[in-house]
Parts: sequence; structure tokens; C-alpha cells
Amino acid sequence: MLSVENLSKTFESKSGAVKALGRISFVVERGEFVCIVGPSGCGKTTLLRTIAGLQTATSGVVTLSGRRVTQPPEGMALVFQDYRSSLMPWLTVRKNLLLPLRHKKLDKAERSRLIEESAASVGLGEFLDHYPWQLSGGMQQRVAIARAIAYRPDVMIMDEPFASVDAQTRADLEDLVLQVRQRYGMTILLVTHDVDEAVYLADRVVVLSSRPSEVVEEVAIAFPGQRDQIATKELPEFGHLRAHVFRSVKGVSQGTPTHAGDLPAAS
Amino acid sequence: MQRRHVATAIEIGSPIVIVIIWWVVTAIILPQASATSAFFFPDPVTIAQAFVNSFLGPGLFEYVLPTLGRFLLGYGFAAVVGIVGGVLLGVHLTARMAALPFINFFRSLPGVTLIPIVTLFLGLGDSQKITLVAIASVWPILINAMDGTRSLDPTIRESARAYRITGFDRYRFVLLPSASPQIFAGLRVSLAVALIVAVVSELFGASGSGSGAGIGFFLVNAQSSFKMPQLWAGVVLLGIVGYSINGIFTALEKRVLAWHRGSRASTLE
Repeated sequence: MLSVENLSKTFESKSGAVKALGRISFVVERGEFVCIVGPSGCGKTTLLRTIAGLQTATSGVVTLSGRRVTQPPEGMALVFQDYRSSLMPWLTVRKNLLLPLRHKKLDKAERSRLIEESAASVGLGEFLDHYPWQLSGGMQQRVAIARAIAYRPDVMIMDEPFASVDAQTRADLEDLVLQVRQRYGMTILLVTHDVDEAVYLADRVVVLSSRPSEVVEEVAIAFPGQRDQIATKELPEFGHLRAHVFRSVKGVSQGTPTHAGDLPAAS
Repeated sequence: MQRRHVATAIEIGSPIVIVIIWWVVTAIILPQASATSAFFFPDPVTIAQAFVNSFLGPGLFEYVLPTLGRFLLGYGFAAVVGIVGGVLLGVHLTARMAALPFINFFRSLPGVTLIPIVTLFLGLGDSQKITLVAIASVWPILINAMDGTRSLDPTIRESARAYRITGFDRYRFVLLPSASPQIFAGLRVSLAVALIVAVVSELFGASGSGSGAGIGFFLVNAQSSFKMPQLWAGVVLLGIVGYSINGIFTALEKRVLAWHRGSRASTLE
């Protein structure tokens, strides 16, 4: 579905070239939820921006549904960390959701249906005629998520989407994204610096090293039953996986080969 | 609530007090002190009579409406050219680089200094006055629209790119509204400039080909024939016109930029 092959990015500056990404490769399968974690400043956002076609790679290829990404592709929806300025403050929630749909070949009724349904699925059905700044931070980020849902993308890409909200809202939004994913069978790629969040949300965690970042390892995550903020985080497997990913991020040797298949069994 | 009432009372009360003082000075004190001064400073009742006689009869069509019409056309033209041109220049770097020297040259010319040249080409009719108003008032709008467009928030820019908002939609729903607070700042500056130039262009004369002489022509005429009450009435008229135009503009701005005030207020919380 989404594949990243040998992606590297070097920034030229006055003080010389800075290598941000060094040969990164991974794949996101259809319907999969993949989280990318890594130490701060490792170039996670650079990676996402490159995958999203917002900037060009120095070398390497990104393909979405078999098509090479050179600029923002049709089948990709982005959710930014900075919800305050990713929504248009001069448009109501309804018009914010409508704007990206205008260039899609849909009739009016279909557009309205998409908008109303996606707003309802993030619990904001009542707020379509509000302006984003009339809503709390968490609600604004829900609007950004609804905008992505209404766009009906092949993959939703989220850049630290919950880093700017308080802890309670954060937990609510995490569960909201899990619900949305289940409801729409959406493929999601999410970048975070929070190991707990990555392990809680993902089917697979891709761990990046510090700059120039490379993929340290990929950790498959599976828990029995529905994910739940309390029950899932109480599971011993959660603790093991969390510790494993944490060490991996910190660059502590695990003493075991780093292959997804060799991980502590998670049934 | 209490404080607001007091503020309103002061706003309405202070002009009344000024008029009363003026009336006391010009109708009671001055005539006894000096007849010449009384001639130059007529009392408010005389001025009000002159106002009604000069501007509310045929004078409305001879003086008031022609000036307002030329002002509106010139200003409207400047607004359209300034906003469209400014947004386009804000987007296109090369065009901006090419245009900036000319913009900086022409905007430093006081609008009225172009009167002789424009008169040479267009005579003294409506087109001359509308052109002068437009040339003088286009620069603040153009420059503000250009700067406003350039200062688009980077996350909004990326967001629009990621969702493939391009072409007309990008101008209409992203660039233009994002620049609108600054565009309005430019429009406000130009509003005063346009009114001044509309009146001043008439001071230099009006030909028979125009739609009417205008307020500026009326003022020169009143001055050269020593019609003091009419002269003062003209000044009062200009004050009222300026005040009303500003009021209408503020109301429009409040409507269009409601999102901006709301969003700023919520950020400051």
C-alpha cells in the first residue's frame, strides 16, 4: 500500500550539509496502523513531510498504491500537530471539511453526507456551524481528524497529533482514532515521540535511530481483545513491549537480534 | 454596562457642547467685539441654513453626489486592482521582484502631485478625477495585500498543499481570507487618501464635460466670493461625509473580519 524505499534526505546549509534521514525503508500494509517512534530531533517530521510529498527526498522512493509520490497525492490525508493553524480560522467546521472535497468529483448530496457523517463520527455533529476557534484544542483536533476522514484517503498520516493537548484529551483522542480506524478500515501512519502511545495504538512500531535516522527495528504489537486505556496498559505484554521499544529508542542493546519476528511473543 | 453608557453619553454630548460654545462665541460675543471677525466666523444657525440651501436642494446633484461618485469609482477601482494585483504579487516571487522598484517609486509620490500630468492627458472631466483618486489610493491596498499574502501561516500553507487545494480554491478560500486583515488595514488608509484626492482634484477646476462641479469646486467658489457661511458649510459637509464613510467601512470590516477578532480573542485566553 504505502512503501518507503531507501529514503534519505540531506539539508544543505551554510555550515555544511546536514543529513537528516539516512536510508529509511519500511512498508505499511492496507488496513494497518503503523507508529513511528524515535528520539527527539531524529527527523520524524522530516520523514513524514517527505512521505506526504511536501518536500522532495534526496534519494529513495515513496510509493502509494503503486504510484510514486512526488507531490501530495490524492489518496493521502494529513493531521498536523498544530491544530490551531492547520484549520482555516475563517471557515466554519463544515466549510473546513468541505474545502478539500471541492476538487473531488462528488455531487452536492454526497459531499454533505460525507461531511455530516465524519463530523458525527468524531462526536462533533452538533458543531458544524461553529468556527474552529470557538472550540477547545481537543475538539479542534477532532475537526482535523474529521477533515481527514471526509477526504476518504487510502492512508491517513498523523504528525504528533496529540502532542499539544492535555493528558485526558489525549487518551480520548487516541481511542477516537482507534474507533475511526475500526469503523472505516483506515490505514494509518502516525509519528509520535511517546512510546506508550505508539505501543497502545499500533499494529507495528517502527523505531528510528537518532540523526541521521535509520530504522533500528520494527516491533509487531498484538494484544488480546479491544484496546483499552486501562486494561490494555495493565497487560504484562504491554509492559514488556513498552520496555523493549523504550530501550530500542534509547539505543540500549537488547542482546537479541532485532527482527520483528524474534520479538517477545504477543498473542 | 454602566461604563458603556457613560462612554456613549460623552461621545454624543461632546459635539453638542462644542456647538453650544461655538454658538455662544459667534452669535453673542463676537458681534459685539469685532464685526470683521463675526463675518469670518458665522454662527452655527447661519451655517446650518447655508448647509441646507447649498447641499440639500439642487446642490446635492451639483456638488455632493458628483464628488461621492468619483470617490467611490476611483476607490473601488483601486480596491479591485490593489487586492487582485497584491495577492498575485504576493504569490509570485519573480513578478514581485520586478514590480517592487516601480511600486516603491510611485507610492512615494504624493497623489496630488500627479494632478498636472493627469490633467494634461485627461482634461478636467470625471475621468481625470477618478483616475487621480485611483492612482493615489491603490498603493496602500496593493502593498498590504502583497505583504498579507506573503505572510500566510506555514501550517495553513502545508495543510492546503496536502489536501491539494489549488487554483481558484486556493486564492478564494486560503490566500485571500488569510490576507484579509491586512488588506482591510490598507483599505482603511486608502479611504482617507481617496476622499482627500477626490476633493482636492476639484479645487483645480471642473469643466462642463463632467457630471457636476463637486464639493471641492464649491469650496473654492465660496472662498473666492467671500461666502463665509457656505465655506464653513462645505467644511462641515466634508466632516460628515468622512465620518459616515468611516462608519460604513468599520461596520463592513467588523462583519468580514469577525473570524479574525474571534480567533485572536481565543488565542489570548
